[in-house]
Amino acid sequence: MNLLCAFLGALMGTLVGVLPGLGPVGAMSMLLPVTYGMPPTGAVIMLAGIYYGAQYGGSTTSILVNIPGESASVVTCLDGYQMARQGRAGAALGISAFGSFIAGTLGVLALSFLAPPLVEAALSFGPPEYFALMCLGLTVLTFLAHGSMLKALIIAILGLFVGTIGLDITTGMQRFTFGLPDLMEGVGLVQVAMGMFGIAEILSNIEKTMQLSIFETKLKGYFPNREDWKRSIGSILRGTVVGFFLGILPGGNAIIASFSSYAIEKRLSKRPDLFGTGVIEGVAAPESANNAASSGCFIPLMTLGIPSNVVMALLLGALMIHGLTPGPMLMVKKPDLFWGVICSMYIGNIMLLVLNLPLIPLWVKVLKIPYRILFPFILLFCLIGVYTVNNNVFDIYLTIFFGIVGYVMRKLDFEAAPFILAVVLGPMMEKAFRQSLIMSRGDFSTFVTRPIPAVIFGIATVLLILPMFTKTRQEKIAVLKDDTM
Amino acid sequence: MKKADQWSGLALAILAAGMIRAALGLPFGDIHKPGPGFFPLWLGVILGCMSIGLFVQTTLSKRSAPTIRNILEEDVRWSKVLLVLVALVLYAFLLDYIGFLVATFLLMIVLLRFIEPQSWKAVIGLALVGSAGSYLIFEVWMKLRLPKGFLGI
Repeated sequence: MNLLCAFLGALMGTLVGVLPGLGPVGAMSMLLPVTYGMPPTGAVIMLAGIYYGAQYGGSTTSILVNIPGESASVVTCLDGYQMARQGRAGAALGISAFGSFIAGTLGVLALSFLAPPLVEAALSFGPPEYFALMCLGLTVLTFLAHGSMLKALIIAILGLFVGTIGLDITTGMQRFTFGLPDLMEGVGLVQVAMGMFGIAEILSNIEKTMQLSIFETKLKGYFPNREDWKRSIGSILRGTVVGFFLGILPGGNAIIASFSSYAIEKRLSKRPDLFGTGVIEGVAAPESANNAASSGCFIPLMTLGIPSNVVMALLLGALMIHGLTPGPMLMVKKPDLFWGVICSMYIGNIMLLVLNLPLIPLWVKVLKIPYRILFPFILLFCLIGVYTVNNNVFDIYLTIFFGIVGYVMRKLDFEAAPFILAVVLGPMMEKAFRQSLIMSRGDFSTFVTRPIPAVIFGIATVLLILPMFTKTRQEKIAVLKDDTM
Repeated sequence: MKKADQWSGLALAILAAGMIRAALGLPFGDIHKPGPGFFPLWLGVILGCMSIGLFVQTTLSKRSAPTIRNILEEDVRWSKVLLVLVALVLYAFLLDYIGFLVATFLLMIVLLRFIEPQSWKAVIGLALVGSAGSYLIFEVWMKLRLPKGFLGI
């Protein structure tokens, strides 16, 4: 049963990864209702499968169409498409599948060894530690956001405020509900995510006529030759390490991982000038890094219960719908869930490798479905997904509202990711904040006298101040310029 | 007052003022036991400072930035965007009256025919597949309860 969930999840994830204009976030929120009837372990396994499946699938679109199937594959376009134009599409697809497999497997291996000791440590964390960690997560996310960091921070604060809507946790008082009983439970993550990533995405896709041209090429020889292996094995391993650690970082994600590993490879390479003209390292490194990162980011969620990016936030939402609260206690109380998910990730990675290469011709056919036919179906799935969370039409209105907000934000160059993460973290942060103050009897210094929060806040402060003095952010923006979330 | 970010900053500052006002209506508690209004009030204050910061920063900056007019005059098919939004709101409104199956069929027709026009044959076919298919998957197979209208479907 769980195997089937992993299989279906990975397959759907790949499909979604292949389709441009629909990322893992949209896919996971669309398929959330499908998991309601499942046992929690099966549900999480399936959603995780969608996530790492999407990382595999994204590369196919990048290489063949030069449009990233999802945002973590943006860099793969640079060398992957060039390789396809030189008739080496097969080798590019092959190395990205093998690289993803190696990185995915090593990432899961590291996850299974690192998680238990981290849970031990996390059990001793109190509210100030949690509050500090969540602040750091949001700060890192805004630091890495493209465009102005101030604007990203503004959006994060707005998200935190939206997170406070609903009944107050300690007093049960209604806050900012405008007298609407539908808002008493608070604003749901699914509605926000679907609005900002589903509807807003579709709106900005239909505003222009969308054209895709697939590079027609003979696809053969997925197995990279010895020369290819020699060139890329180092890149794959370095990409794995970089990706995994950037994945663990609060606020880190697969997108950042793929960009960083590409930059590192280019700097280390003996032939940096050839990057961008179709070198295999340029495909191997980012594709490995984004898969390793997608295993890495399970660590903060599973051990601390803190989601480090939007995808993990959705997974948190899924767990809570099933009545589970992630965090150290979850691993102590329900170890079968954690290890079930880990096992499924090992198997899922193997399934993806075996399945994906033979299925590439099929994915190419999928790519040929025009967007004008696709988008009504995507929209429909979004609507059904939102409705079935609570069987409430109000949620559809709310999603449309956040769709409009998300669309306007895109136009004004505000990023959606910090908002969504903040909506999830908001209630948790407020709880930790209030508990900290009650524990310390109103002494704010509790956040700086305890060692762990002090260090974490130190790092966060540096990240906040740094952009004012250095040019590193400008450089980073130059690299991330054509990144689309 | 030309840059879009100046307007964003102003609008956000007004929003922040509204948030502070709303938060003040809730018990603030005190520092030993923060009440429901404590956290939102601080958020409002921080947001207010930041949006004024954004306004000032954009005003002082010599770099050129997109203006509202730039954004509006972009090559965007606003009518299509608006049409999708209206269709979605109508869909939500009609769901409880005419039921999932009929409402979805109509929505699919609008989306397939009026955004990127296709032949009526394709439109009807795909709309049927979409509405009946999702009904079978979600209502019949997965037993999720989709809204029923006066027709009972």
